[in-house]
Amino acid sequence: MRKLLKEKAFIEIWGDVVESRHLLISMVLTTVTTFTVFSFAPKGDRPMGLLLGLGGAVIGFLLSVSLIKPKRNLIIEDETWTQS
Amino acid sequence: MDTILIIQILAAILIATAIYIFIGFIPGTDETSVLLPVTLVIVLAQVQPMVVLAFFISAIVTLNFTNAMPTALAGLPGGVLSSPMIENAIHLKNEGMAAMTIKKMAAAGLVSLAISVPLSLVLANLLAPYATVISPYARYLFIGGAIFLSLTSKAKTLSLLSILPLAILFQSLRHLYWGIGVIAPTVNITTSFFLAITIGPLVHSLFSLLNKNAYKQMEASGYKTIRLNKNDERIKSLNPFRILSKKEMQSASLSALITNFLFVLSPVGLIILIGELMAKRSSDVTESAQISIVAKSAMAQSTYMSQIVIPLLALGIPLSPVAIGPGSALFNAPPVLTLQNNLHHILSTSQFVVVTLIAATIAAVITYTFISRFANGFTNFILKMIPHEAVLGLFVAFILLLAYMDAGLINIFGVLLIALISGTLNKLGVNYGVQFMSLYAAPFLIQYLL
Repeated sequence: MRKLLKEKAFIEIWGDVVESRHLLISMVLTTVTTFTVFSFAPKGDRPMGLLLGLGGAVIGFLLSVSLIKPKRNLIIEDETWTQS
Repeated sequence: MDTILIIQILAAILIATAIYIFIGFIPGTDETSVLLPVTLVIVLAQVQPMVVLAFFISAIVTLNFTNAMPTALAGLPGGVLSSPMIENAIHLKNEGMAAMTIKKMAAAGLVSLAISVPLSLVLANLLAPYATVISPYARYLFIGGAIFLSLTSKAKTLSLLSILPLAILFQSLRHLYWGIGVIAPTVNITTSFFLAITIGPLVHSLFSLLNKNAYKQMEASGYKTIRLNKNDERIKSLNPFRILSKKEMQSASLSALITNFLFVLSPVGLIILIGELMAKRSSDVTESAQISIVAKSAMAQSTYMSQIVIPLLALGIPLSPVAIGPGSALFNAPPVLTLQNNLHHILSTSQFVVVTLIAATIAAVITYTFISRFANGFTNFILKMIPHEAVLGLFVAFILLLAYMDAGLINIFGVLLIALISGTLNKLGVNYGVQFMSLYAAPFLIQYLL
């Protein structure tokens, strides 16, 4: 567990690389925003609850996008393939 | 149809296309998690049924086109249906054929839609008179499906052996919730259980991180290196008949045709099964990979289209994996839609046919054109902008929200339990298809054990 929280612990998960600390931050952040906005829905109003919950999830997603850098090295190659 | 309704339908198509072009390009966005909640909101907001249908049809068409892009260009699965394509995609990418692969996959999708949209509408109309005869046998189709998918998977015995324990897992949670009164006895939780299966492998991986040995295996040395080719966009032809070779065209059409008739079976299962069969049509490794990925891309469209159109138009009961999963809000979203009064009962056949044709056509044309021009630039933008952490965080929040809304706090842990078990089974070789079928068949399977 301690190892997961230290800096630059890169892990490969679902075909892409993440840093464990950042993953934890993003999961906690998005869950908190989702349920915070969700809690404003009147009790028993399922559509409103879902709508607000999704809104909260999108806010959390956008915050994560602005806070966390993708762990990808993009190499743009300049080769011309001949079309077969 | 009045003018306002037509404008609403067109607006729904354009909005769905815009949203799902964006989502489709993001790697790892699971179809059910991104389709179901949004559709549910629209249905519950009492939007006109024809507008809802238009939205959903254009959403699935767009999503199945764009999910192929991160797959072909970056070797990252766009969605669940793209995972069986990864191996082929990476091979072709290493051969320097990513650009051609995108074109071929998009062209195959187009060919597949040209077959599946009319065919599924016709099949639905042929099937409609027998709806009352078929409905009572739905259970046998699900059970048969689970067995069939087990026998065609790589882990046959393990899959067969896991059907009953899985059914018991699902039913025991339902009975627990009924027993302690967190849900009414008439409510049958499916949405959050379905998502639990979908997210199983992710949960399994996250838990493995807490185990020292497993952690070591998942450790990466650093950033993931992804190569994109600047010139990937320079192939101009938009004509599917020029993009696909004769063999590829046959494979795409044949796969689309067959899967329409097998609309009760899991899309991932069908894609794996028929995709591998098609791959055998060539002994050349590269040509075989191309044929396979083209067929798989065609089937992503044909399975989704037939599995939503046939059950919805002909039966009104969710008798297919897509109908029970991503499309379930069109069948059952109380209090607005119920199994006795859903889009099947509200819309006339002609309304259904017209909306489906218009939505599929507009979404396909826009997305196909978008892909042909901007596939590379947009993939580049998404890979630079959107961290994988944010996508995984979004899923976890989604599933927690839907679990909580289905049956309160206890269901968050119920969903975790399912995710852990199905994730473990998944890693051992029991595919999604077998697990989904077991979920649908669970209530009936239990009766045979008494």
